[in-house]
Amino acid sequence: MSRLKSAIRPEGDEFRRRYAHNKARIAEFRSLQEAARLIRPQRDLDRMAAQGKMRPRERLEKLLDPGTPFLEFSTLAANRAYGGESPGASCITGIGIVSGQEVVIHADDALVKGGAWYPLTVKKIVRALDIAIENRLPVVHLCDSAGGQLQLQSEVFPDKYMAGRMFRNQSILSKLGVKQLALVFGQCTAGGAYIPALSDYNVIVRGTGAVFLAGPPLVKAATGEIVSADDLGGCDLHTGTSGVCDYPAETEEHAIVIGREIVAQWERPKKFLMPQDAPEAPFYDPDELYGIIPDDIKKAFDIREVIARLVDGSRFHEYQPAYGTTLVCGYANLWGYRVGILGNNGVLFNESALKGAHFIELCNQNNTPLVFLQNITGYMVGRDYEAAGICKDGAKMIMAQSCSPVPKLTVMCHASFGAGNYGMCGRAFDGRFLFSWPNHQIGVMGGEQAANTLAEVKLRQMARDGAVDPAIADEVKRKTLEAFNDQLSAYYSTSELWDDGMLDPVDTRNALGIALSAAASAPLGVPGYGVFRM
Amino acid sequence: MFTKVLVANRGEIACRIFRTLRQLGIGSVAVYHHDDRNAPHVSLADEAIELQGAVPSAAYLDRAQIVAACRRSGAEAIHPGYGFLSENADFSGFVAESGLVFIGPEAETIRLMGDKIGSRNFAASQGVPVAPSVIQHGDLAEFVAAAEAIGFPLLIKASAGGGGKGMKIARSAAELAENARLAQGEAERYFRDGRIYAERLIERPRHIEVQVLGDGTGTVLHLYERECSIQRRYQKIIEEAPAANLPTALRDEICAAAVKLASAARYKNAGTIEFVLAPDGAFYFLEMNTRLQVEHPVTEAILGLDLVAEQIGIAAGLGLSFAQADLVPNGHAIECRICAEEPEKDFRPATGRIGRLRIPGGEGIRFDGGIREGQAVTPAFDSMLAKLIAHAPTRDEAAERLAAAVDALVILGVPVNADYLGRILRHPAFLDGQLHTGFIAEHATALAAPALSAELEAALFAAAALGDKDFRRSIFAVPEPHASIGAWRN
Amino acid sequence: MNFIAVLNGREAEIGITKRRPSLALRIGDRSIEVEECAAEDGAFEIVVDGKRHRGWRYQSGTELFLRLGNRSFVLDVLDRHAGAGGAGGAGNELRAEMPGTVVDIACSPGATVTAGQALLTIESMKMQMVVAAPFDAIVETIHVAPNASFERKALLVSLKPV
Repeated sequence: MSRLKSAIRPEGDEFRRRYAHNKARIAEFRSLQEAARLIRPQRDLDRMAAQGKMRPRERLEKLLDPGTPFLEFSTLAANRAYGGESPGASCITGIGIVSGQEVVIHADDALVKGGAWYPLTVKKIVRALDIAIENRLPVVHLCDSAGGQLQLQSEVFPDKYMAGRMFRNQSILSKLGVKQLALVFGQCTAGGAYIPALSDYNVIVRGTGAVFLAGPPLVKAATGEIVSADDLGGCDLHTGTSGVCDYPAETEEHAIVIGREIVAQWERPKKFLMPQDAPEAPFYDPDELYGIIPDDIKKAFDIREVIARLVDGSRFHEYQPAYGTTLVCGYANLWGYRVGILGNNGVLFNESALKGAHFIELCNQNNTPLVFLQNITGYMVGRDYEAAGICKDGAKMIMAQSCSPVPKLTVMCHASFGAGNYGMCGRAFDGRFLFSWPNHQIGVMGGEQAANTLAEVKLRQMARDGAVDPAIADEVKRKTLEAFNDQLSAYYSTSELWDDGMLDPVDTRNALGIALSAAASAPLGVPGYGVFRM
Repeated sequence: MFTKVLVANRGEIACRIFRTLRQLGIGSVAVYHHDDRNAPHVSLADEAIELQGAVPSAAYLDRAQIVAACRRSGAEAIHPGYGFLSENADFSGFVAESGLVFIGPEAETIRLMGDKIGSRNFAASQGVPVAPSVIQHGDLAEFVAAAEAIGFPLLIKASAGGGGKGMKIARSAAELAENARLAQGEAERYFRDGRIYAERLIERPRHIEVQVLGDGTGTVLHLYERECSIQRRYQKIIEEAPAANLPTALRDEICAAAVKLASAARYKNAGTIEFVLAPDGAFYFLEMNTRLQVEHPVTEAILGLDLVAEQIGIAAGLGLSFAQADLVPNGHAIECRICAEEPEKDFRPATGRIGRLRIPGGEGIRFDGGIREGQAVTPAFDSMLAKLIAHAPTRDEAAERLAAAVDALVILGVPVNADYLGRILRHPAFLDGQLHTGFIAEHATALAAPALSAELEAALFAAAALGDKDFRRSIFAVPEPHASIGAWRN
Repeated sequence: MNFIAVLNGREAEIGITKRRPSLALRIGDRSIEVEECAAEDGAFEIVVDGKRHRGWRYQSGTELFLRLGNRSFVLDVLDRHAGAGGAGGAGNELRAEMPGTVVDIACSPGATVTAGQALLTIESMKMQMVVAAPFDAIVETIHVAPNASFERKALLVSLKPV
């Protein structure tokens, strides 16, 4: 496989301008992430310390094997919701290594309103368990939550993918033979009690850990019985009498030691995909990505420059290099795994869509995971293209992609507007993991385009009504732009959990490597496609 | 010549004697206590007979059982080794009465030399120099007065004692009175004989001893001298032959005195006469040991002979197999005693199990041990596990060879003094020959284990961790690409 | 989990900072590069920060005997939380696991007992069992009398850890 040739000019103005812009953008991203991870009210920090409890991230670091990576999902979940009350959506999820095993971790963050579940908390946990199911990864729950946010119960409790979905997912995981361990550090109340109960193994900390369907306040209100949390559902009751909990732990540290010993006993999963080669760092410096990514959503860049800074040795075997050139397709190794990469270099034409569909079929034929690098503003529009059947060509690509039995990973590198999102494996298409870069924007169309479109529509309407006022059209344009800018942003997308987290572009290689290893633990899907509209 | 010999001992000396018996084609019989059933000496002999004893050492001291075992096995002779019954005159007599041969001196000789006071008097009567001394004859006050008259400093010893037990130093009249009383009590307690004597204490004395072989008719050969000045707790830990930097005339004088004494006693078999050598060149008789000594290998090395073979020959009535003129020393030999103890804790004996044993080899290196991997080291027996001997053309080379061998020796599972001995062998004062029995105390600071450098400490902990099964698993169990990515957070 | 060893009374915690391409360990607060080499004779050979060391090891219980070069050392390997599923830890109250009667009382209030020491003998289902102290303790109260019957979960003895 030959090495990609890079055409960037690092000493040029455009590179330098983009580099400065992106470095600043990433600095901002990192500081927001740090804040979401670590800044908590002193009062809550003191309270936890006084209770003899460790901070959630301290528990995490003690749980994980030293010197191993942790891929954290959706650090900035809920950053645009609830007035910023719920950093990280009150929980930490990710993939880490515990006693040599790859596991999905879900840790309640009791430093945020006692770890109470907001709607987005539930969504984040459900998503983590979906990842566990789809990739057959064992789960370790670090439980310390006050339960559902009562005031937001209509968004937390009743619907199909709300709280109940967590317990449904736990049950399905167990059915699939995928193990779960729960470490009970705090109170697991009401629904929350089901997390340890539905886990295959659980450990409870004496004194601070408790599991009950109804806590002391509810019990008093319901029957008048006055009972302490420990007597109602503490360590000794559950490990000695009820059998709800398996292992008593004297301290949180002890609980983690027990937990690690439990995980150490678990069978190593069978892998369905193996690395083909020893890994090799990219030939080109990933730091140069900062000078490649544009500072404007409308500006283009060669996706091959991104590929060159992601894949092993910067080697890439391009498929159909001369045809459908707005979609770059080819094979590469990523951390030793063979992958099929699809990357946008412009709008999708008929040829690009056809090429994409065919390449996806080739990857499925060869059990090659797919990596989608999105930078798509849409399909080509116009009569010629419609006449040539761009609808059905786009549909073929969607059909091939949707029915793919191989694991799919998506990185939102820049724009993701309109139908282009679909063919390139957007959120709805059950990719195993989806990450976005801070410069990413997602929407049915770009902000300016939407603002112009709506202003145009307003003008036409005003014309029909007889009174054309350009100022009104401008106002429509301004308001639309404002709303879109808010909702198009990667921060909004990640807040809503439309992705599995934002990444610093230079971290993408490691994230994908970990994702591929995780994806390799599940059997490939059932091959076969529906009908391709020819 | 005997067809079979029983060795009434254990450990390294028993193993060493069996080696000679095998070479001479003589059958060998070992005796052992139940606790010693897996000891190396048991399997080195042609046959082994178990002895009963409430405690292990009691078995090796049970003369009736030993003689019975000898009879049963058909062995004609008993070699007592050193320690245990080797200097027990009654045992020697009992063996002879039982119609068996005791490989060693006659009972009377043992009795004579076993009495510290008696042997001193005998030495003096033969014109062998003895240190001015006073013997206690009953009245303690009389003894104290007489002792004072000799002059200070004084060394008070138990008459029936040995091995440094019950010895006291007095530098003033007050100390003398007090320590005399204490020494008497200890002598009573340890040796069941409260008699004490006092002699002038020589400062910075050297311990010089002469190996002798007698045929029992009055003919005695000397096998030159050994120096055993490096001692701790009054016990030798490093010995060498010949003595370091000894003027030839002085050596000849000392050896001649030894021969005079032994032939006057019509000494039979092997023995060692110990002297104290003062810095001014004066030497005084200390005692005679009527047995083979621990440090005999250094003499064997420089003379190229087998002392145990000689002992057996003499006991079998074959007399001495060479003449004095035949004995020409060659080169220099040094021995160090590997003991299960902790030098940094005042040489406190240690116990444990020999988990790993690696014996050094090489030119001029001899290892006399009675241990094997897996063997338990208990308080039941002496703490000496083995002897390491090096022979080389010069003293410097011998010291270097021995130090290298000590470095290469691996004994793990019980603390040993090997590293400490290595530091002595490399100490400038030792290499210079500035030896005296206070050497260890004088150089205590320099001989203490050097501080652990941060670098060595890190290597130590790394080595420790890498040997741990669980730690290794946590290194190697992490899958790829996580192991290569390392401690990364997004 | 980290490896903890004690040398000359000082404790050190050894962790892993890096596994590939070379192994890096953290000892206390210093980081070192370690490489393992093959060695014969039962010895081991490691290269620490560029310096080669040859040695032997032998472990007995928690005592680790290590010889590095020409020096021997003894370390104690600590196991902070030995064993999972922590020992019952029902605390200081010894309760009956099934109904039965008291056959014999072998301790008295205020007595100091050591771990494993017999406190009472009880009989249940035709089987006699000894109730022993789970840890070194002082006997606070004996709640039953000889020949008394008790129910399941009945409190037999209260202890105070020593």
